[in-house]
Amino acid sequence: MPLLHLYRTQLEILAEHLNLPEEIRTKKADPDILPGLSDKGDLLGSLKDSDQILWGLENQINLSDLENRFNAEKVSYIQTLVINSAYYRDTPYSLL
Amino acid sequence: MDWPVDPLHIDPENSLIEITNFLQDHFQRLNRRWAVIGLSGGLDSSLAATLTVKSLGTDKVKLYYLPERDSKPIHRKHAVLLADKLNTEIKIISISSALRALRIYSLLPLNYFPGRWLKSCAVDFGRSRFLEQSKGEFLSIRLAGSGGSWVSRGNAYASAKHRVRSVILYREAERFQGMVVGAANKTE
Repeated sequence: MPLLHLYRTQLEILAEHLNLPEEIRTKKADPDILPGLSDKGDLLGSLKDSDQILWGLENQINLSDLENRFNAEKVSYIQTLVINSAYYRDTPYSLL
Repeated sequence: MDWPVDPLHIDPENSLIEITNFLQDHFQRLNRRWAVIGLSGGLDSSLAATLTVKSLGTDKVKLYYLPERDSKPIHRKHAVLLADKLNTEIKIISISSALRALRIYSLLPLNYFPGRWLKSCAVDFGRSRFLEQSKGEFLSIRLAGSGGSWVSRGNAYASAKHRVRSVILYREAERFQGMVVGAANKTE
């Protein structure tokens, strides 16, 4: 998983640096798994904002600072997503 | 901690070195002959493939595009375009028959709607009904699975596709002593 340490916005910087085809770089992040669902970013409001909020939560930025910078509802939405998606990130649970 | 000017800033050249070293080390340590990558036509897997070709060379990389009934043709075009640009072999294997055999398409009643456009109208309609009840927070409902059985069925419908793709990629990797290179990012 060579990209797991980078946020999507950072992948876009890298993709531009490596000169990936423009049509691939500029299209929406389409999960292409269900007709009618064609933009992952849309589900998050904006990828740029949500990546910054994720960064803030990860780096222990004061919650009120984050809420001033973005908005309280958005920050709490991202927090909920982080909790509800933990199931997908965890390695198989075991007693090891 | 104070808010930096640009918290998501990276030095692409440094990142590039870090990632290519990481891929080369792992490839050697795991004693693999090939890297196996599933392309979706999107940015993440295109980037993973580009970095892997840079790290190991085009003759060590096998690319796969694994479409199914709902896949949009534009992404196939982009997957092939990228493989051409990287001068790397790409295999196209449809997973529709596997999904059908696993009864994945039967999880949602989309079979009653012929064509991709009508199917997406049906999904839009279903989604808007949940959005009305949930102040627009579709994704958190989807992840919590709290929106009732249709949302859970939609989850199973969608995630089965990634999982079947993984089965094929790992099958190929086992056959060729390959190392599967994933394309997941931190936002996901």
